[in-house]
Amino acid sequence: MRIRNVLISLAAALLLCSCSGKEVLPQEARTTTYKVAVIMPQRIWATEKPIAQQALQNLEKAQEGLGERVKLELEWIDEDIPNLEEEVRRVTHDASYAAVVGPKFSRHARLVAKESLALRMPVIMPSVTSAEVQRIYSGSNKTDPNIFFMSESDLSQCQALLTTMSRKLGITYVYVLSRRDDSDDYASTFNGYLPFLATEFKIGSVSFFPYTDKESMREQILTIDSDDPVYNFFSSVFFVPSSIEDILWLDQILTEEGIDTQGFTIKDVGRYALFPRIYCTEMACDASLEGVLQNEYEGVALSGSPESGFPAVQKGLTGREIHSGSAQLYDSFTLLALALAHKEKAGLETVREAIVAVMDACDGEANDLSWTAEGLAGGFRSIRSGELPNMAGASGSWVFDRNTHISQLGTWYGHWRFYDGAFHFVEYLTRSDHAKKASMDQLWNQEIPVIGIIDLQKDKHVQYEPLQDRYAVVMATSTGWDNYRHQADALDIYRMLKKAGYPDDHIVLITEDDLARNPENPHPGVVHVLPDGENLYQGVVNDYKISQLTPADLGNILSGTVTERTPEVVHGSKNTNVLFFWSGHGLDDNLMAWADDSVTSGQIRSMLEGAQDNFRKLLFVMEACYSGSVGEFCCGFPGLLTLTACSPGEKSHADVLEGPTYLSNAFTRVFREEIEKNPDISIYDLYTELARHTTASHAMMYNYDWYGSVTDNTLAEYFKTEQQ
Amino acid sequence: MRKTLYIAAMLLMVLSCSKQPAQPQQPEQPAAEATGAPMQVMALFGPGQLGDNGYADSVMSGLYSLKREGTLPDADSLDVRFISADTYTETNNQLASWLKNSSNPFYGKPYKRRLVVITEPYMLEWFDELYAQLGDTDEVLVLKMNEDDVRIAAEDYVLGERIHGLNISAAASARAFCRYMKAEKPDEHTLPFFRLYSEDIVTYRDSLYEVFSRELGGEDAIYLTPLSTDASEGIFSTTFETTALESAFQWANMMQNAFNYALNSFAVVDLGAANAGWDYFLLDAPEKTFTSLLMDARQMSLASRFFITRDFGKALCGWCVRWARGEQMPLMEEHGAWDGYCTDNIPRNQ
Repeated sequence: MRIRNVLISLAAALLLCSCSGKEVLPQEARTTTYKVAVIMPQRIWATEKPIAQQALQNLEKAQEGLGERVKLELEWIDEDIPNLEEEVRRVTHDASYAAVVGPKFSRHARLVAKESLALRMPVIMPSVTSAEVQRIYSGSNKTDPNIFFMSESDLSQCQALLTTMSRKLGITYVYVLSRRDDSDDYASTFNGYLPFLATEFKIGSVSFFPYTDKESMREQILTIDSDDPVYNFFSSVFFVPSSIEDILWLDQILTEEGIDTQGFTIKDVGRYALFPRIYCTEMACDASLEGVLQNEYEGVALSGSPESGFPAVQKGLTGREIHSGSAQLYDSFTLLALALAHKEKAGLETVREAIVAVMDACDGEANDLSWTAEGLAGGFRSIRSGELPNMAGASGSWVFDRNTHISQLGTWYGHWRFYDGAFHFVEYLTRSDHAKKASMDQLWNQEIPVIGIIDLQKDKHVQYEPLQDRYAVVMATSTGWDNYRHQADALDIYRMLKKAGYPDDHIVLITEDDLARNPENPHPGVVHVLPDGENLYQGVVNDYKISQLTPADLGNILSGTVTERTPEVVHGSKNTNVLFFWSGHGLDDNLMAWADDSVTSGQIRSMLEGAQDNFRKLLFVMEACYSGSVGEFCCGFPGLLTLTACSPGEKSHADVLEGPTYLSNAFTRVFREEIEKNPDISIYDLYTELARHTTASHAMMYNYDWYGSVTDNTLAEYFKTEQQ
Repeated sequence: MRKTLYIAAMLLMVLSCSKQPAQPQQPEQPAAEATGAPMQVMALFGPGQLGDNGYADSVMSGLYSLKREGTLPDADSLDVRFISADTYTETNNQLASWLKNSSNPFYGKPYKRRLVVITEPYMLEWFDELYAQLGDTDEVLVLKMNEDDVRIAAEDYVLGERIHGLNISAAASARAFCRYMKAEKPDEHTLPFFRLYSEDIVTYRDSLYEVFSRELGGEDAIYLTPLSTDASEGIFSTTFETTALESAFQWANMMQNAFNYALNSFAVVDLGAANAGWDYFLLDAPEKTFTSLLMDARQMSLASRFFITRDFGKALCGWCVRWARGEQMPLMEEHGAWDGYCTDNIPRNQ
């Protein structure tokens, strides 16, 4: 009996000791070490490693006295090595790594993100800001996030930079000096969105000065320099360097050409020159350029939250200004360490769900000093006691996009000036008022608050012959899986027309027809514009392949000229309404893509001129970048109304993601939604909705003076069944 | 026997329940002796002070430069930290907590010496009930305070030799500026003076205002315009609608309009972070003819105007190095305009 009592007591004591084992004495502390791959260019390790070291030291300090601790063991990988892809694959397919931090640059982000999907290894990207990259991976992040960006996208950076530029009195012109290469993820965001945002900032016009190498950059610089000083006085250069090399080129060119960026200079006898002030994106704020650049610049950088004191602390520790992205790098490690501690404590299966849990516990109201060792200590204590802490970081609020968890909102930008060989921060900018409530989608999907380009007082009434017949020409000018959205949108318009009662011989459908059976199609035989949408390919009669048609053929189709090449045409008259839908790429002002070739605005105008006797009214709907330039070019035709996805200098934007594939385009989606909602919608109301809800471009309407009343004319005569 | 087996099973269960989930674990590294530093310097910032890109950030940088390699013979001998809360109440709570716990928060060992740096003189009054809790080896350093006020504080708060003052006078530079101004424009004896708050309880910026008044022949010569009426609002909120920077920008614009007729109109601008707004306006308006003197803000080389920058961070760092060495620190230390802690671009030959 006594033995049994002793055993029971012993058991009870053991039970108490082991199940309340959270009170483990510090000397018995258990440290779990996690391997983390850090992908950064070796040339900046000297500035990045001290930041990482500071984070690791603070993490160690913060867990002092705790029974369970986490430790990060960093393995640095040079981002600039030629076999980066191999290295990334090695790491992301090795489960012994807990996470990847990096890369530094947007141009390598897709590679790392793509490889990470195999094991869904968490990847924290401190300073990858490409809107396109963030947007694409937000789709795959919605259900089981594994890719996290520590800053908002470059759309915010565009706004920050335009804010600083717009303070310059009388600024009217923005000259964008950038690589005009859509495969460059960094430059493409700025090229794509700047014209739109500049319009919103009431900046008069945006002109592009693209370069591919140092000499072409020199040509562009000299072109700007030779411009009228009066124009240049009201201008600024928006420089989007895609690499450090680009910045060095610019600096060398300015020095070699004797161009003074500080004000008026006498270039020749009696001729004054003024080079516009140069504003640079965050890429230029690189510590390695201090003491190297010879000229003066201005710009923004990814900074830390000034209220957290982090930028000032870094200045104290290093003797120079914080460089772009270091607060975000610091936070990548602290966020990861807290998540790892939470994973251990809560027994979660994956690191990525632990990261999401830590993010979700942050509401933007946390103490600004959460990033310090003292603040982190509080965070770890909470986690070890079973509660998730409400934290903030050195870079900001740690409030992440609510829908996708993809990017931290409320990024702080440091507005810097470079002079005397060093960067000097002037002020800090943020959209922090949005950080506590917004989703990044709101910025991607930025809509126009008000429009007012049409003077309804001058609304004209035009007399037409009676409507007796309706035709449509629906075309997608691109080919291939990557351009899925163009053909899908064309098929959806085809569907709407069929629903409205158009027989097949009244719809001339021109697509490459290479989607439904495309090897990349995850749903063979199906084409849709919404992830769970109707199969638009069913019953489709495609009349021509775009690659087998020429612009001249299209002219014949529109004008009703039957040839051997064009048996299917618009058999129209002055009693026929024609809907002409065009979806594809715009290459530049006045140049539209046509399969592997191109067509000019002038050619499109000629086609319409040749078709004038073949239509009563022609509604020309164009979804393409720079489509406004075609609209502008095709004015002065009776009966023509042109709606375009964007203004002449803008890009239009893809929309509706399924995995990495865009299914539709923003303008066409709104066009479809509004007409399906109300086929009787007036031209004016339709345009208003298009202008307001087409995302990140300005939908335009042309030639309405020649079309007739925009309030009385409706879409019913194109999209309603005759019985209706 | 069955009961014994049951107990054994329980024991096994208990033992297994204490087992942690499998983790990639490494053996504990032999830890370096973690005893913590024997000294600590803690800077106290008011709500909204940090991030001013001027004075407060300079103090912060100076504080952390103590941890920069080579500043102290042994950087590990001294810890630095700071308090910067969102409200006065929270600041007070955090300071009270700091005063109560004189041990290193990470290593549990008591600090031998601690120093609290109060970054604005007006904050001294906020914590008057807490000074009694200062330990025997705790000391207070107040920045931007003059000697008389430090003496008064020493008596009022019974701090004796444990309170010190540190200031940098810009008066010499200011006097030089007044002489330049009078020489350039002898008929102009009025000087608009912009500052952030309407009232600073203790000495305002080392009597700069008085220097200008005296040099220009009377207080009537100065038109003082504050951007904000409440110091507790913080630098980012002059009103609910505008930031201090925007206000400065607007004031500069207004000044330009008001003084457009003059070739050389002068203004003194001491708005902390908002100086950037002023500076920015003038930079974009090279045709502007009026001249302004900016306090504690360096400007672009393009600017055709003057600045006086006081490097409080540098002064604080130097002071703390000597304090850490165990030197007897004076009640008051005041640096002059040309002692190496102050830079300006005011012509000296006027």
